[in-house]
Amino acid sequence: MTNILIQGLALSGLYALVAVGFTMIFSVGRVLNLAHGVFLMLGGYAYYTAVQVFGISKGAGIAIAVLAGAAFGILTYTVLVRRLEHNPIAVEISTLILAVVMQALIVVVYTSAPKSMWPIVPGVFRHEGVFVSHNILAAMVLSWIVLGGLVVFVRRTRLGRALRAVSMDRKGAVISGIDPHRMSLATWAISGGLAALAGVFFATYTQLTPGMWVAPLIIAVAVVVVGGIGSIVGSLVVAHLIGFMETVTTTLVAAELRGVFTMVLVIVVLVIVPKGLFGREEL
Amino acid sequence: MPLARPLLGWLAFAVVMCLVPVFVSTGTVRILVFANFLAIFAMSWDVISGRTGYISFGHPFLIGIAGYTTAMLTYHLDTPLWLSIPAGVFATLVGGTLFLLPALRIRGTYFALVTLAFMELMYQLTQVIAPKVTGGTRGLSGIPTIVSGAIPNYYLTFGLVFAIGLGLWFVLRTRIGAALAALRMDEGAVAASGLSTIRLKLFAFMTSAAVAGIGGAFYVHYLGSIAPRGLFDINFLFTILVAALLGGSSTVAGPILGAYFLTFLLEYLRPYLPGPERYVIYGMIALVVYVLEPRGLHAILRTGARRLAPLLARRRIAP
Amino acid sequence: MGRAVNTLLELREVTKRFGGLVALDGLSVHVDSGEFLGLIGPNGAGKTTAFGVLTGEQRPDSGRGYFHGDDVTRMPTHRRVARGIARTYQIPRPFGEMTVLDNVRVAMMPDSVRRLIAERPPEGVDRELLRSVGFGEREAAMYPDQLSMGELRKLELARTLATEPEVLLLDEVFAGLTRGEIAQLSALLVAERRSGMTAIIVSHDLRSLAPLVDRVVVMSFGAVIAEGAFEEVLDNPLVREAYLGQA
Ligand SMILES: Nc1ncnc2c1ncn2[C@@H]1O[C@H](COP(=O)(O)OP(=O)(O)O)[C@@H](O)[C@H]1O
Ligand SMILES: [Mg+2]
Repeated sequence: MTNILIQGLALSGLYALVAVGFTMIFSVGRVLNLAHGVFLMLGGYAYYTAVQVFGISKGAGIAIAVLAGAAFGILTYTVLVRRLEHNPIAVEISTLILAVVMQALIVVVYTSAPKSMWPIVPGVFRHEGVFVSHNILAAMVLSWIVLGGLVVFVRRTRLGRALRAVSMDRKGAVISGIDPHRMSLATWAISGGLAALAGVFFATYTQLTPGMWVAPLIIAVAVVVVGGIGSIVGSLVVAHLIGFMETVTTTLVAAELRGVFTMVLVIVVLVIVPKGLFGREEL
Repeated sequence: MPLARPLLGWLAFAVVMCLVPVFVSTGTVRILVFANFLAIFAMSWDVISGRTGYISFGHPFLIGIAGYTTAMLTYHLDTPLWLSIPAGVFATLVGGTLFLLPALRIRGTYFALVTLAFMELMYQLTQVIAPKVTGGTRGLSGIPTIVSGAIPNYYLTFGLVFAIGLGLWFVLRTRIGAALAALRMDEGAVAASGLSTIRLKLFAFMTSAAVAGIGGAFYVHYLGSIAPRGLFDINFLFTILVAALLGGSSTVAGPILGAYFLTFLLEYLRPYLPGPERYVIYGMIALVVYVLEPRGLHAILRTGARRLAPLLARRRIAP
Repeated sequence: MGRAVNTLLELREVTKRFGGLVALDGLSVHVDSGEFLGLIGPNGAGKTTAFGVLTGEQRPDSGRGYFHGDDVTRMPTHRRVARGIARTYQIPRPFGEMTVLDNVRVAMMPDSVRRLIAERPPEGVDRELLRSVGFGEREAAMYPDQLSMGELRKLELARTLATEPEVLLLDEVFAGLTRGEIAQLSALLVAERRSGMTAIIVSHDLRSLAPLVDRVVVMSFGAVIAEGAFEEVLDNPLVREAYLGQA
């Protein structure tokens, strides 16, 4: 029982971190970034290169990963997304193509062999038959800190408020002097950084492979779709719904079925309440 | 509408493609077999997504239903192919209705995501539900093939491409094609024109599913095996989607063109880039073409021809 | 010679809410066969929503719609159109990537996949229809983004006529038009009226509307506040207040 609780919480925290950047981009720009999983993957590989190839400290490794993610977010937005912004489907298709290109690029640089990542926080938490790696607990704590910070950022800071304004009413925001392109740029940078951070933990949780971007993309899609595309709080709640659902399925039903229920949930929600359980499209 | 010229085009296409095996190596013919399958899948994708604007991110789901149905029937029950392949296509039609259900309520991004979820669900289900029947993660192999050897398979698959392409072309050049295009532009205005949008969607989805089913069933009986990995896969989806978009969506020739172009691009890059770099270049080309001309090669060739025609004509007059 | 007056199209006690906002509040309106009805009222009064309920594009929360006395409340839009209810949109909604001619052709299509595939399209009727609204070969080949607002409204009208309607629902027909375009469109509508068509016309341009209609209904906050002949309605203090209160 405690096991389920802790594992569920930890997994949910990770999922929330995976999904939040995806949510932000939709909320501000009304487009889906299907290269989101690639942002995570880049974060993972950047960290791996810094820490496990060049022997830089873990903290610096994380910082490098986050910067790499943010830079790639900016690049994706300026080179690709900006010219297609008026057509969401074109953005989705082109970011999907981008994802496959990046996957190929990773194979060129790192080969397709999986790389295993050392845990960022080594050790295992043991308590009355409960086993959870420190690493995933760290991911959970970090994701809480980051997400808490994000909520404060969106509500309290000037940039955050401007983002929120654009997400609620783009035209109105433009009239009041906010440049929506700069807001989108900021969002892609933040989203890229957050995704890369999530990617570092996701990679230590699973493995570093060129195909690893698919799983987090599917998670982000699931969380965001069920929560209501664009709602940060909705995403948080649903990340926990899905995290716990998967943990319960894994421990009590059958490990293989964990993804099945998630997908069934996605389909049912999209068909019955397309706007998601929390039905908002603003931050 | 004048029929003669396009029909001549189809004829020329058939003649050229029938002669190809005479001039190229067996290796190339084998590659062409894959191009033929890709052309079928891309044509199928385009009927839903290019024509009506309901972007399918889950097309491998439809292809896989037919593939698995016929694979399981022949593998476990020794069902003859003439029965199992139609059964597979029929199962895909049922799968197509599953696609239609969300399409009654949602479109755009939301629809695309449901289809993605369908594909992902199928990926999971084939591995965990009754793995004895589906072969689980490893899939099924030793499935009977229809013909053997590169050249017979080439003619078989090209026959399919040609029959499906010509059939679709004949149907979609009628008013139904315009009705589907209208559906893509403004569904509400279509209903306000007195047309049942549900019926139009049903038609598009069933046609697309039938083509996907035929392609999927024959594909499995060409490969002789089927497995969830590589089939219910975003990379496979990517190839289908890019073939259709790169060639030119909302046309019949476009997806076929795109499929051959994509396959050959990959092959022609091989001598220069033997390693995995090839895939980067190939993806980049797809991306650049898509961003610069979302209507694809078909449109590029068309505009090119239109610009060239007067030049050539002038030359002929004054040599 | 007492012409038998029969109600062609009717809304009875229709309520439609958007979240907390009551767009239609127990609205009852009707139009008789052969009648041209003006539907006016300040912005947000619910005129467009009433059209949506009449065509089935909007589901009412309560109340019913009747056509030829039959309850059509739950009938889907395309079937109502097939039976003779056609509308234009306040903001024209042409098929953007199709020529004017093809736009009209879509509206002329039969609602049967089999017939769409098997039958040859009728020849000449499409161009004839375009000519009847004043479009020649040049306009027929144009794309909607090349048209002026007046031409777009004419295209909308042509598309509704292509469905062979019994009643036209025309939303803000004169909005965004020049004087000349208004005169042209008015002439077309007068011709339709002479030929026995029925119509409900929404317009803010009361002066252009007045000569076209037999009767007006004034809406405010989703309900009828006055109806009758033009002059008496405009003298009604409630109507003045509704319009002034808005300005
Ligand atoms: N789809 C909708 N969602 C929410 N509110 C709507 C919608 N359509 C109309 N409304 C609201 O309903 C009221 C009536 O609108 P409408 O019928 O367009 O008025 P009119 O055509 O008389 O100007 C307005 O307050 C409008 O904002
Ligand atoms: Mg209105």
